[in-house]
Amino acid sequence: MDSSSLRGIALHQFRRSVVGLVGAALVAVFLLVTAGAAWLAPYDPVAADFADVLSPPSWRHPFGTDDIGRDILSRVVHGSRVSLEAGLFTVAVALTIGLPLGLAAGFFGGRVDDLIMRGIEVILSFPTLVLALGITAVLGPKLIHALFAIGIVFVPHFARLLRGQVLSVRENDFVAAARALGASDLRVMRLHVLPNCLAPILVQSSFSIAFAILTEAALSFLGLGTQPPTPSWGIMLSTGRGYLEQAPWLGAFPGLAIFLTVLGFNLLGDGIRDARDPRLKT
Amino acid sequence: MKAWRALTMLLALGALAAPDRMIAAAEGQGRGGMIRIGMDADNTTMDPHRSTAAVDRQVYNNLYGKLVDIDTRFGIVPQLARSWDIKNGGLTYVFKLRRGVTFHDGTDFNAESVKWNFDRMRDPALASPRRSEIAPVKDVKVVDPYTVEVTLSAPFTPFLSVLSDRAGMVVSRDAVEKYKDDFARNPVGTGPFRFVEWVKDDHLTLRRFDGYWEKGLPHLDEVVYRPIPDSSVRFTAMRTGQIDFMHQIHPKDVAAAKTERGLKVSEIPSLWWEAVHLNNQVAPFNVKPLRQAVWYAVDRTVIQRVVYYNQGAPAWSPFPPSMWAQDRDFTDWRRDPAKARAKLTEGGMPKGLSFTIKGWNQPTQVQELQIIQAQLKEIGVDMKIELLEFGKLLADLNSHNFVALRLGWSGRPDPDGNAHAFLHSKGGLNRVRYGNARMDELLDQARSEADQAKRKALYAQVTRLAAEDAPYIWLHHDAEVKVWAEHVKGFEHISDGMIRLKGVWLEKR
Amino acid sequence: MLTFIGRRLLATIPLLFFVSLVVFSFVHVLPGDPAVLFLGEEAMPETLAQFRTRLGFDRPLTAQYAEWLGRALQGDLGRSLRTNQPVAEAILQRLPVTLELLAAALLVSLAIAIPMGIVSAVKRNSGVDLMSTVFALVGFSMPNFWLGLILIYVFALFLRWLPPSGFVPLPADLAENLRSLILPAITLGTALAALVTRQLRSGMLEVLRQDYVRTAQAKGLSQRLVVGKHALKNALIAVVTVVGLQIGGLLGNTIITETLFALPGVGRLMIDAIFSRDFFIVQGVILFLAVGYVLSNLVVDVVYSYLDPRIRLR
Repeated sequence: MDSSSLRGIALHQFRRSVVGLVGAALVAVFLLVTAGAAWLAPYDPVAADFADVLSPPSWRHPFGTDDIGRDILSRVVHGSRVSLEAGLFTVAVALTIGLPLGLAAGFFGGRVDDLIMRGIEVILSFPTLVLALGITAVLGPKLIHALFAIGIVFVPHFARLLRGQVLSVRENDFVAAARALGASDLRVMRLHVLPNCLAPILVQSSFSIAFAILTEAALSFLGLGTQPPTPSWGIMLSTGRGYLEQAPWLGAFPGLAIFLTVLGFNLLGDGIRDARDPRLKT
Repeated sequence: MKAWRALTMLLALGALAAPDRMIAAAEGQGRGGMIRIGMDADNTTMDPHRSTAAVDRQVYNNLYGKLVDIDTRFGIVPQLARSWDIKNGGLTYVFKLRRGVTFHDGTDFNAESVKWNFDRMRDPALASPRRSEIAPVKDVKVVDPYTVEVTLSAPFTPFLSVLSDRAGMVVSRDAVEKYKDDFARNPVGTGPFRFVEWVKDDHLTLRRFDGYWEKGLPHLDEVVYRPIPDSSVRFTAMRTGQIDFMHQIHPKDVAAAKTERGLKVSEIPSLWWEAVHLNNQVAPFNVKPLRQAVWYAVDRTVIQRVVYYNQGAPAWSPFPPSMWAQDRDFTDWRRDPAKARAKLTEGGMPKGLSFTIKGWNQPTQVQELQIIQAQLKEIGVDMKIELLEFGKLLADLNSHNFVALRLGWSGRPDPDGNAHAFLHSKGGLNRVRYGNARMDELLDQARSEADQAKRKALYAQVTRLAAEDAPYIWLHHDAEVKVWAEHVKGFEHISDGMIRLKGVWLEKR
Repeated sequence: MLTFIGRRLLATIPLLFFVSLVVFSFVHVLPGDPAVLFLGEEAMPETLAQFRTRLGFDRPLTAQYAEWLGRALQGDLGRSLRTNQPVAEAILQRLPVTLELLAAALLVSLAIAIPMGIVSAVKRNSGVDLMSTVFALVGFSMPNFWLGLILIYVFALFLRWLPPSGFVPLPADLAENLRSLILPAITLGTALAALVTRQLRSGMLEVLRQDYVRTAQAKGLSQRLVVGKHALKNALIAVVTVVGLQIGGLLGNTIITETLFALPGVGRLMIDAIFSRDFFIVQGVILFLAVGYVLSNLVVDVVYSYLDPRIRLR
């Protein structure tokens, strides 16, 4: 099958757009669930019903109940909030630190650039989870510490992104002209650099949120993230592990939730990136 | 004539060979072999005079000999002491010791060894946890090479029972003097097995001691203890044959173990109690009504049902149902949220309070803690959970580094052993720093009283007072469950939960 | 080639220095007094002071760092606060397990990804292509601990074909050793397989479109020859790229996988040490993993440059 045939191109375009759409749909569902958690959840996520422990999915409890009788559906729904917090907080940290660093590195160049790039290289020398674990080990197993650590790990990605954009824009004729006319650095940054960055930042943010949700779940699974009784998907998987034989539904649904949400953000990121790219990417 | 002589010779040869064959016949077919035991935690030390962890006792029971032991009915049976006399209204114990016993390092066991061991435990410089266990011991005298006379300052009815555990274990003086502090890693005793090696968090190995005084025993060649803290992993190891014996099974797995082919399960009453320890010297639980609030807020029947699958029994005192000392008429332990809230107000915290409890990071214990968390939340108390590894948890307990801590006690055959060390103001295990003169009185009286009926009445009063002062919130008495592979034979399951391997043998498969 | 390696090595040294600085600061600079964290708030001031002096916490930071670095370079990473075992020894004891797991995962992922990637590129828009695209998208998003639980449930608890957890060391029993690694390897290797498939597919497609390949095809050279000789080598570059980029994630996921399957590796060591507040072990493992990561990146760079000469000339 020749890739340059019209049919091939059409199929290909369609597939590309499907990816992005599916991602967007999943993310939309996720956001709706987080927003409407209070209404969507049939029970209080921390309300224990000792008479109804470890019961399989039923009409009363569509996802079943856990080891102290809490409704799993409600916990999964509320767990989405923990994940959203994780995602947003880490990206916020990464942007707050990474953007100025990247801009500075790109704009001022020279020594500043060198220094910043060196620092970034050091951060990148640590495997993400290892760094997050190290920080939580010393500061204590609280979610906020873990999220901060994950945020730090993303700084290089955003910093390099910005730096790249600044460097490419600097050579631009527009900018040269504007500067010749006396426009200040700040103005140039604001008007020329940042608008071009929006899409890549969105793409990177999407991937980062996906990764943050995954990492928060992993840390909670290990017992070093959110602490009981907060309904985090990660903790629920950890409990589910202990009852895998007797009550597999404990881990099945939270895991599915993590999977679909992370998939959504990853596909969305893919979709935006592909849409921007005029080249016929494979 | 020739045939007659041949027959005689054959008979003679037969007679010479017989003893071995008879022993083999008694054993079945299983001399030798290695048994692998899955434990829930790693040992903390090999020195019984310093140990505070229940898990250590498992190894000690096979490595060290003790003066006496207990049987399935909590009766005291001879071991290194072959007989004893109690004189002077319980103030003097004269032990006649067994002859021909040697330590693993070849030195002799005799009255001097016993005296030296008692002196070591009582030496304040060692700060041994055993010291308070044998506090009533005033003097130890060597009467003759195999007779020891122990004089007590006051009658101490649980004395023999105490000697059936670590306080009665005899360590080699030579070894201690040779290794000093390192003795904790180079133990020498008189038990059926001797120490080979201990790789922390991996395994601890014992090997048959050929000079053991009981001829023909032990049958096993080697014993390997493997710490596998995760109970699911441990149970899996049991099912897949990676271990032959399992200590501590999660209640949820008991049903599966009973139906699994190739496994034997034994479930008997235990001596355990599980409790929340409340630090009586630190806010908020230095205020009695606040402790009482927790006492009434916890629903032990729910814990019994949900966490323990109805195995064992709810606990309202340190005395489990297997003990005659349990006060079965006491009912003021049932959940009462109204009373709990009233106690909060009485304690000056009407709007509720917040504290952190430390627990063992077993996935299974988290469930129980969360239930308590939910029950406390109903009365406005916010309990946060901090999970730690076992060694750290124990260290924090011993150094009073906690506000609340959940831990169990493996229990002792005599009720005094379950209560005195914890509730007496000078108790060696009283980490919560609780002190009540009346309680001290009751406990001291109960341990010097010889009549069981009178002791029972005293322990009933102890139960009531402890419930009122609530230094500990007793939660549950575990069932004592052991699981082993069906080729393991000869195991005698005793309520103290110890895995005694002396008479155990492996059937050839 | 050698100058390239030499130059990269030289550039790595200051990097390692900074990495060690960061690791050192974990325990010594971040808030929280290790003495109090380990011994407790109620510990007597004398005990706390003794602890600090014994471990050298009361000396100036620069002196502490210099000593620590000096010892670390000689292989002395301190001793476990809990068992008093030398940290380096503890790590080396468990390293073989982790390495075996990583090797197995790599093997599994390449065994899945290479055939899938090549076939889907050669037979575009076919059923296999669709399957591999879905796999590539999905495999990367799946939380590996969830995948692990599913695998355990299906293969270990339901079908009872494989052990659900635990590890049998290689010298003891080869068959059991391999059996105990199958599920962990799949769990760990799936995400990587997804990425490699994707990268390989796009790399291959890129090459297949090149003029010289079309020319070869027009000349009548067999499909297989074309694919085998020209496409593959370039595609390997893509594989190395991805693997190189993913080593960090792989190391992190190893920790999770070891915990899930109860494998006594370096990752488990770190988690257990965190729960017992054994800081020196945590510090030692982080340093070890970070240095290992930097060095493995170096190796990947060198391999990459060997495959793609253009890089060397830069």
